[in-house]
Amino acid sequence: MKTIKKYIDLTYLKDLSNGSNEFISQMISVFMVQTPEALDTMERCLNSKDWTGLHAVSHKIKASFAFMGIKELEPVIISIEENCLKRTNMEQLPEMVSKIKSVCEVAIEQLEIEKKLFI
Amino acid sequence: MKNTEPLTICIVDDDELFLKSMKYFLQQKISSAVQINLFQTGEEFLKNITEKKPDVVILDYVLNGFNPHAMDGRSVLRKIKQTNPEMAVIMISGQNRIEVALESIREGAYDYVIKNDNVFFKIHATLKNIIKNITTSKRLKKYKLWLTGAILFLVVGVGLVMVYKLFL
Repeated sequence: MKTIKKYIDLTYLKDLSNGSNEFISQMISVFMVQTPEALDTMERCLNSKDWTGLHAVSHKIKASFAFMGIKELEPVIISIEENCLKRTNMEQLPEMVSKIKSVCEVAIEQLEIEKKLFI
Repeated sequence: MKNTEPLTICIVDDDELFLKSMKYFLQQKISSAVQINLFQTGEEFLKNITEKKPDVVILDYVLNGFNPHAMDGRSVLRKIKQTNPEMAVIMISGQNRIEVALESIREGAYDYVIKNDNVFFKIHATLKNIIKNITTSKRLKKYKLWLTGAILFLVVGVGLVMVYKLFL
């Protein structure tokens, strides 16, 4: 049986919540709406070689990953940000963006399940 | 900010997750009355600045992360300072580059806070200092007004006595 790695860790969010399930649930909902939009922007910037745009959206989404404890993507998103800024290793960017997208898809599914615990 | 009026804070960030969590955190931490307004763009905030008249603005340096055509935080800071030089602005950013911090302070920001795990606590600490400053300055203004009134009363009183003594 194939086990799927758990990408999310809500410790930080729980610490911030001060025991409010409503707050946690609301934050998860915002992430679930905001992230697919950001991923679309990332892909659009990548396809149009808009490195300034890709840098800006990576910078933004990095903070969202920290909220949901998606540590797996931390080094990847930092790499995208730095490479876009310095215009280095551009050939690796499509693979990095693809990694972000695939992990996020699983993370959102996991959040959907986790969210039910806070309603 | 009058003693009876709530402290007004405006948070400007295109990341909704940050906006909502920051508001929630501050409402839990600040014991005095506080009114917190959230804005996802600098343009929207500037449109409402006169109506909201915030005591403090928490402003993100990168406001064009999701919309490349949006105004950036630095330009918003400049606009604020042009019309409201006394308004306290806490600049926040995920960038820990010293030149960004220095530039923000040069442009008139009260403080520059890096968005990391401690960002909420650091902003809260800075806010406490700002609230203290605002309260002290309001108190000073009140004393100045009181003193001016007392001096005026004294001068008019002495004047009246002199007029009375001279002419009556």
